[in-house]
Amino acid sequence: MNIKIALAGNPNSGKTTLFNSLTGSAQYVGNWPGVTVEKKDGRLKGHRDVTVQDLPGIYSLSPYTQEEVVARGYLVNDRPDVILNIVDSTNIERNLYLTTQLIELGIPVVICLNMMDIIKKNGDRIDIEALGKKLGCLVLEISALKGDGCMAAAEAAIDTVKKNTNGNLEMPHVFNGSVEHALAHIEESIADKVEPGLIRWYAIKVFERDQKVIESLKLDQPLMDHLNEHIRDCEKEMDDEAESIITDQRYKYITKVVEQAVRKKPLKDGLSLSDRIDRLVTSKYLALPIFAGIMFLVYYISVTSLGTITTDFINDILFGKWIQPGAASLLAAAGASKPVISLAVDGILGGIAAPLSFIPQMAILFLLLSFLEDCGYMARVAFIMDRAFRRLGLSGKSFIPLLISSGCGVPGIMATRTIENEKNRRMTMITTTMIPCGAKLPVIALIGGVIMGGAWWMAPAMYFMGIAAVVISCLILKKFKMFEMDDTPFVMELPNYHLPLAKSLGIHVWDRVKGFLKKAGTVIFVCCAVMWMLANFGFGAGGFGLVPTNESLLAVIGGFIAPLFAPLGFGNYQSVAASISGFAAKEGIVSTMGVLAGAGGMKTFFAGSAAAMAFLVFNLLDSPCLAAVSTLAREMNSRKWTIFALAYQNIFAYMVALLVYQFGGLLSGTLDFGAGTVAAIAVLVLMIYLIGRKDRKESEIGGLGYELDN
Amino acid sequence: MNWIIDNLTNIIVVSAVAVGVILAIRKMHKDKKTGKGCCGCNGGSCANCRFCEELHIKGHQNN
Repeated sequence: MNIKIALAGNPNSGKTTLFNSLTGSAQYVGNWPGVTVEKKDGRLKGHRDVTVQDLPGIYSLSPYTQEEVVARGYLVNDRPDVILNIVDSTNIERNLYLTTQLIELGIPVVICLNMMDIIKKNGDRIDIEALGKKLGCLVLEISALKGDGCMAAAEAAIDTVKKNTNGNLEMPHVFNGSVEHALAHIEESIADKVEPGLIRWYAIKVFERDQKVIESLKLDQPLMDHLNEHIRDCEKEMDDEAESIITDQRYKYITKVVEQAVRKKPLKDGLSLSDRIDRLVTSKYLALPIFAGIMFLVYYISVTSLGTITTDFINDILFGKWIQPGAASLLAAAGASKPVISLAVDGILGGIAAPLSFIPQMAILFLLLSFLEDCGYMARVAFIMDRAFRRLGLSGKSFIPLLISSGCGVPGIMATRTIENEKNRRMTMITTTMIPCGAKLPVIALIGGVIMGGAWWMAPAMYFMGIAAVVISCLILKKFKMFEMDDTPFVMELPNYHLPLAKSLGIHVWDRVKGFLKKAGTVIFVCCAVMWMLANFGFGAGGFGLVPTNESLLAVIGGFIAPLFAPLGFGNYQSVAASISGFAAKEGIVSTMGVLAGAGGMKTFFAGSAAAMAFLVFNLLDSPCLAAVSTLAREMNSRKWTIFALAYQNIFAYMVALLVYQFGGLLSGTLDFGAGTVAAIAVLVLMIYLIGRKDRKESEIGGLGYELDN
Repeated sequence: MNWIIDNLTNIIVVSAVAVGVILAIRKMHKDKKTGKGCCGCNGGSCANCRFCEELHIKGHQNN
């Protein structure tokens, strides 16, 4: 017997965590609402005939959001055999609003009270027997995070289907006599049009005048007029609209149920621990400094302090002293020629070793970022950022893609799909890859560690520079008519803080590291081989063949483009080649530098630290890797917009790098006042003008104000 | 023949690199075709971007 179990519940109630626990999957779990926007299925562990369906989080079965449309469509049309309704016990009143609707679907419902450990810790008590009796369902306690009671809940759901026990239980009496009278008429009229199990749900939807349901039932006009009479009579008697009557009576019923089944311990000052933490971390004046301090620590620990120790070991000792010299001696002893040794040792091993040595730093960074996300802090940051983002023309929803982009720009661009406003979405897509992703981390670490002597402030500074670039870009772009937009409201529920599980953090970190290792074996490997070939072959005196690097194809091609980057301080073919390989994959920058480093080392690529900084800034802000560009093109769905986005990113990166090199060089005394400085001043003036010029909308409002004043 | 024997190590190393490059390109092409890793998620940390759905790749989200 094939059984379909649907997991339904409010956003961030723990459905995906339960799904992963039941199926052994590793679906992405985030501690903020709206992580799941599509349904997913998997097989229940140990039961090949049982399918578990993870539905997006919903507050009701009304089709107000995309998630509600997906979940409702599945529950009504595909009809699972049983619903596991995950209820966040810490928000039981609001969660039961959906429960009352799920019960009306005529599908057996098993209620899983999640986060019961928090309830117990708070000293509250939920009488599950009383709750089950009132709602007419089996109620179980689970802790999805710890995996407690999860399999038992699934087994209970299977039992419910096999024994059809739920069918014998009475439906809860949610509505009063007047509503029930109207519903009885509707049920009678639509009885032949819908499945018997769904009759109650359809009747309520018709009473609420749900247009989609009414259209799907294809009710003729005389019948609809007749039913409307009953609905209007009820509305008249209750002095309210039909939909509000249903909502109001549901909440009244839930209040009654909660009064009988839930005992809450009075809170000190009426505030929970989460509320007290939120008072501090979301306060008007301290929120942003706290966020800045936390992010500074995250990058300082992962890249500068703890990360450096491990990276230095892999780079200098493992590869630098053991693997590369070992391989060179082995090949020499076997009779390999010098160019072949160079290909294997400098080209392949050197190229791959360069980005691989940064894996420990990446792992520590993702561990810390996952911790902040899982514990619930990042959801607060989205809330804090909403205030700031609104001023920039973006909504707090734009912060989620930016946050995801600190891992990888591709899902970051994808995450913009939750932004309804098209202009807002385009602006977020253009700017989101300016946040340093995991692949850019080795570039930051390389410039900061190897070239600039381990500058401790480099990694945090680059993260904040990414945010600053987003802010400046938004301030510039929103003034243009094509990005002019109205404020969009951002409503987000703040989850309770909790200590993340080591397993969940481990999955997040391993996913990232696995992706990085895979890239090292594919795109970076190819990149190393191509770069070595280009750096060692060319047209010499004896025709095409092996030539010194400064006569190679790479030197010729790079040298042709290099003058373009001379005003940025890195007008040499090595830096240009590294930047170009960064368009394939950002790790390619480090691997190309590793291949081309040779005897002089990477320091020789840059004329001072200002040039190295300009190189870093350019490569962090320019257009992202190929995978992200193709995603951008796909999501923009317009060639014009894609070209605009790429042109903006590259021109903006060039302008910022020019400012960094010219002013940095001038201040450090490595550069004299010249044509480059004049160009930098012109760029600075242009940027200040673009940032400071009046908003078109504000000018219009100002104009209107003037008219009104007069 | 003598040339081959003299350059055996060179031939092996160059061939190994060439085979590695071919395999890497093949893997990248295969992944692109199946959509694996197309959204940067590598199957594990799916960000629910629905990219797979658009590419009509069934089941990728549950990799």
